[in-house]
Amino acid sequence: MNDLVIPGLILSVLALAVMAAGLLRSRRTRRALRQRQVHGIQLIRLQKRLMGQIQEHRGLVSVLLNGNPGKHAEVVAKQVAIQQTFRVLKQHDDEALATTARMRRICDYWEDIESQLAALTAPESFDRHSALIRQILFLIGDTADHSRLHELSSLELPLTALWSDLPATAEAIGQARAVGAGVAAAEHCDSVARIKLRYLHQRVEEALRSLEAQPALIGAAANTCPSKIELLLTELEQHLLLPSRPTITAEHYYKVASEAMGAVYGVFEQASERLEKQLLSRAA
Amino acid sequence: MTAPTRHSLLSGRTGGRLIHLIGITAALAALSHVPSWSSQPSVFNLAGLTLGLFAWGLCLLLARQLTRQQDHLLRGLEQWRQGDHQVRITPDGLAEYTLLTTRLNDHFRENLRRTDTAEQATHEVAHAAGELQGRAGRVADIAREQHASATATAAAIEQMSTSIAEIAQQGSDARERANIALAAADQGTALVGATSAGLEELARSSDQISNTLEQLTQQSRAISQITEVIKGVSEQTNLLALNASIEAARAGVYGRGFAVVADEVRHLSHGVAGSAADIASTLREVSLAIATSVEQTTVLREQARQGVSHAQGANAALEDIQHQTRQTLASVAQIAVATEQQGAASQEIAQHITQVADHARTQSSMADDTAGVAAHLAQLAQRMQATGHHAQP
Repeated sequence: MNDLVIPGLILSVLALAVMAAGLLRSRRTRRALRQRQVHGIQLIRLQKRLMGQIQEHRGLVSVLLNGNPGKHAEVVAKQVAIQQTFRVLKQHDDEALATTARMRRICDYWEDIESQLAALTAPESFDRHSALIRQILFLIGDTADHSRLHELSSLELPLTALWSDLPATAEAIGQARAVGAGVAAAEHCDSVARIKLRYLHQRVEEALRSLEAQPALIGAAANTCPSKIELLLTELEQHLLLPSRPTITAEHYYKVASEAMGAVYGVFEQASERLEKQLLSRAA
Repeated sequence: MTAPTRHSLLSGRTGGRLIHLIGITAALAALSHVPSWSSQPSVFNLAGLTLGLFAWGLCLLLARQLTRQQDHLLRGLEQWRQGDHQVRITPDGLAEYTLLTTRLNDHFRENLRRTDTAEQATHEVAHAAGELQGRAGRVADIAREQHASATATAAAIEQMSTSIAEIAQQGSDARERANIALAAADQGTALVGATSAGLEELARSSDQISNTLEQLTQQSRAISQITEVIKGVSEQTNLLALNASIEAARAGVYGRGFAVVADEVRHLSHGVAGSAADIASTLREVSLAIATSVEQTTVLREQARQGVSHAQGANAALEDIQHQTRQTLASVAQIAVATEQQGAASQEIAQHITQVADHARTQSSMADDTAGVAAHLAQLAQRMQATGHHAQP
């Protein structure tokens, strides 16, 4: 009988070692996942910054191509800032996130715009910028998926809205700003512009209802963000869509739209910061 | 269908069952050592039992992991099938499953984006259809208004053509009356000319009469002078007769006959003086009459001259009337020509307006058709929207 004690002990230790290794591996896997998720959120915030810069570039170029050469210096400065953001993004780009192909496509889109800027018409510039921003929205979604942010279901934030709905809403407001400002400046709304504005009005209105149904996402901006979006929708409908001729100045409309877009981005920044802090505290 | 690979044997419930079976076999093999323990268990028995149980445990874990991964996959696919296009499958387990899960998630994501893009396009088509419907309706309204305006214009043109014909007829009448007026003006000019000549002749005659009266006046003066002489002679004769009477009276009887003669001479001189006075009175009346005649002749002459002047003025006016009438005739002729041209043009316009009205009617009909097509497009778009909301993969 004494001959069985040592082998039994050895076998027990082996079993415990295997269990401990399993636990360690599981813990390491969870930590790697958290780090991946944190990295993903940081990348998404960088991508959102890029998107905002491209939107501003779109607006500046629109003014430039519509006959205001005084904006040329601002356009060049914005291009420099965008290139800096691209460099930072490329440094943080993670092969594991499998977003390299889309990132390359985005860089190609940007180089195409930058090189042909002088030869573009205002509508062509708008379409190309919007296509580039659309790719950035897809990139944000790809990054969120590959970072497995959808597994953060235990946190109280509606995460799909964070990286999908909020940036898309901001872009819809951005397009409404560009098209509406052009209509207000021209003091005429043709059928095509009216169609676009009605469609964008519908999209922004749906996004507003979705935001109002998610108070956890809006957080501290519950009193300001919806009201600013509501104001934009009202101005758009009352002064651009309903009258036979626009009854609002381009400057005032642009200001209202910019405030609405800023409010949406503000919600995004607050929510993503909150989420990142929660993840970092859990990872620790 | 592809040939099963080495990895596919480990996948699915079949793989899990197989692994479980291996584990059970290992456990049974281990337990088969137990009967031999009744006497004295050896190290090999214990090792075999432990390893068997350990293997069974591992196989159980592996089988459970495979089953769980498969359940995740099946659950995700079922959710996708039921319309949850935002579903994501958690990669957990073997690397092959992780790769499959990642690819499935990528597919779900891209499919969702395509669906969203289609839905957005559908929304925009719906708005475009609505705008098209509104515009088509407006075009139809405008076409109807255009048709009504064209019809009214055609009627107005028709009335204008009728008016133009009446104007042409009145122009022709005016031309005839102008011709008559011109003839009358010519006749009047001739009459005025004759009157003017007569008045000039009258003026000349008045001058002659005036000259004659002037001569009579001078002769009257001469006669008056002679009468004065006669009166003087008569007075002297009367004085002489008186003296003779006185002398005759002085002469007494011898002077009675002389006194009678002297009386007779005095009576004669009184008679001559009276006759001379009558002659003077008559001359004065004649002179007065002559003066009156001269005045009247002067007035007559002046009136004749004024008459000549008026006749000349009337002649000038008649000539002006003739000139204006000729010009009026020329204008009337031009109006007649223009009226004829306008009549032809208005008829042509009326024909064109009628064509426009026909085209407007056709356009209105086509616009109604377009509005119908746009309404149908709007319905199709709404149907697409509804389909997009409930899209099944």
